[in-house]
Amino acid sequence: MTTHHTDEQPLPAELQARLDHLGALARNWDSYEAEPISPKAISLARTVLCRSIEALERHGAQNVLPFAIAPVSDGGVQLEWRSHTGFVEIEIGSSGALSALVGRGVPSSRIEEERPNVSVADVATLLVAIV
Amino acid sequence: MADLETIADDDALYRRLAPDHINPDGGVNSAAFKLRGKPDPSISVDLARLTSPGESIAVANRPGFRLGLLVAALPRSIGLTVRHDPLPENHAHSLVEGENTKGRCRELAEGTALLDLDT
Repeated sequence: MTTHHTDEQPLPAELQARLDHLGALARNWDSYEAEPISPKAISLARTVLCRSIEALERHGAQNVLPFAIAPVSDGGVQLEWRSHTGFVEIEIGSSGALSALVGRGVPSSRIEEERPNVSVADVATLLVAIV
Repeated sequence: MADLETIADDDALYRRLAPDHINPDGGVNSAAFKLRGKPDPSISVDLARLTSPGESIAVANRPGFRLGLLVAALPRSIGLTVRHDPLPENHAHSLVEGENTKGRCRELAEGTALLDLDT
């Protein structure tokens, strides 16, 4: 069963379905001994997605959805947004730690920056900067 | 001890890919090159000339898995090494090794092509 926080808006159905799918992955889902995706990572991914959608809408960016939502082998979740000016990759660890890789510019002259510790609010700020 | 092969820059490598590591646009997600939440410093691949696509993907033994193909020059161009590391059950097994980063995982993903096993 999916837990929804009452202070968050419902996710678009395709995003909720994707999180539900990831939450149901069994151990070794990647054939390299991956862990099941942790409920904490799924819950935090949902929060990040909700807050990001809200922040983008406040800045006039409607219907901006992540390019990809992928499982990570430690039981985490990776979210990725892309635009013509760059990308933001957010990794949510199985314990709930957030980190980011931000790329700015076109691929041939892209500048990338790793950020080891970010907050949910930071994610929204990073997204607003590239969309 | 098994004979070790020298891997040339133009040697093809296979990486087994879970269905959830294929992006909606058909590209490969960088999470496919991470281990325990960190960029994998020792990525398992198969040396293509010592195996077949069917044999390489058979280890997954379930539907939906794909094979990614990358040439050895790619990881070498971003500071990683590639070496043959035969296993008793898999003579083609090789390793892409080194100080991996999220950015390098991304470059590996962008440089990996999905192999069409139906042709």
